[in-house]
Amino acid sequence: MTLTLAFLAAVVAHLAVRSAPVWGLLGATQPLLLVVAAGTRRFQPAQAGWLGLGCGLAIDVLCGRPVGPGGIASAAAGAIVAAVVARLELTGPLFWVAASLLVAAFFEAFWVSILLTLGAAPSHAWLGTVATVATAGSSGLAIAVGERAWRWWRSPERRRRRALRRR
Amino acid sequence: MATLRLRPDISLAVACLGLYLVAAAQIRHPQGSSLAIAVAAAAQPIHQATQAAITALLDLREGMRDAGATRAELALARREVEELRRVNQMLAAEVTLLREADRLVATLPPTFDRVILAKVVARDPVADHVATIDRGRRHGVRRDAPVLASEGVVGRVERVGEGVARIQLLSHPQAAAAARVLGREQEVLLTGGDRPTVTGLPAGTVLAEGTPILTTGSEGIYPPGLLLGFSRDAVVESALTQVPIRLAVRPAHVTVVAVLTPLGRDHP
Repeated sequence: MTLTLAFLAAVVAHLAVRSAPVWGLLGATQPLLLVVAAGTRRFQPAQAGWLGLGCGLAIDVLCGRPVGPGGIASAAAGAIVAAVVARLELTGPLFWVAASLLVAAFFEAFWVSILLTLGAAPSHAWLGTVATVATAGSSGLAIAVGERAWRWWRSPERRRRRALRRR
Repeated sequence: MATLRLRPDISLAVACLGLYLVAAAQIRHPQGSSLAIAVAAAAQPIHQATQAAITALLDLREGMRDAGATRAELALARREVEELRRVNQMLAAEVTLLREADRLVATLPPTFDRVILAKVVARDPVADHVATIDRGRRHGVRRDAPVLASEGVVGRVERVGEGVARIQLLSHPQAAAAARVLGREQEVLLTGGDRPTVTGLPAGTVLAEGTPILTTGSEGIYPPGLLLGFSRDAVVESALTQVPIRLAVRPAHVTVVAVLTPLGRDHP
């Protein structure tokens, strides 16, 4: 359920960041990759791969690219990063930053490779790849900060302090 | 009945392979699909909503900036009003002082070549019986120079600083002046203190309330003919009888004084 909501929010965010008034660099953001990154923490590599496949296909559709390479690239990225996360036991802010960066990097690498094997030219070059990875990393960092703030807000320690202050 | 169960990883690989073939077909025969058209149509309201939201945010930011500028201008205007009010009060005080000085100048004796008008900046007419004025050596004020108000004699300059001077009031216990009662030639001595008195009147003299006491100038400080105070009802029994007087000037009410520089006197 949470992932479904996150998927829908990411789709809306994907379209929103590409609106004309938004800063141009944010147009390289792929919020759906963050959903893939989120899935790498809770799923096995194969399941994360399926989630990545869905998100990648959505990216292809939303970006108007040939449907398929993005799904394959995202599936591979999700499976690999899930294995890495499980192996290194990444948690907390480090997980978000590392997972989002790795998912974006693997996605871009596989996507470009697949397009090259198909004889098609990618829609962007190195600068676009770097922008995608950088915005994914920044978004991961922002989510990590938000998650930390959310946990602090709902922490029992804070509730106890508030209760003591009321007395 | 046989069931087909694929492992997730193998099925994922198979799906990817299928997608690869689909992608290859799309790339070989590129043409706009109805899916792309549907996505573009679905994205349209989101783009519009985003644009509206960002425009609203920009408007809000602009409005907040305008409100901040307005608040700053209001604060500035309030400060200016406060400053103007303060200046107005100071000007009103200056006008009052100038009127006081004008009255004072009109009462000055003509025997002095130089009159220095000064503002009383501090006073202690009760404990030390002194006052401080905002004129000093730099302005020509000299020690022992007589100090007058429009009502009469205030005292004499006791100490002189570079820009200020201290006046010993007539009510000071050590203050004294040669005096005479109006209408009599007999010289008397006025001494200060909490209850200023004159001594030296001939026995049998009867003074009515409010008889003016004037300076004679024989002590070398005050010019003759200046009003020192007024006598109270008294009958003089001997030359040592102390007749109480009421000083003409009430130091607590003096705001402007005139410091006289007598003719031919310019010693420090």
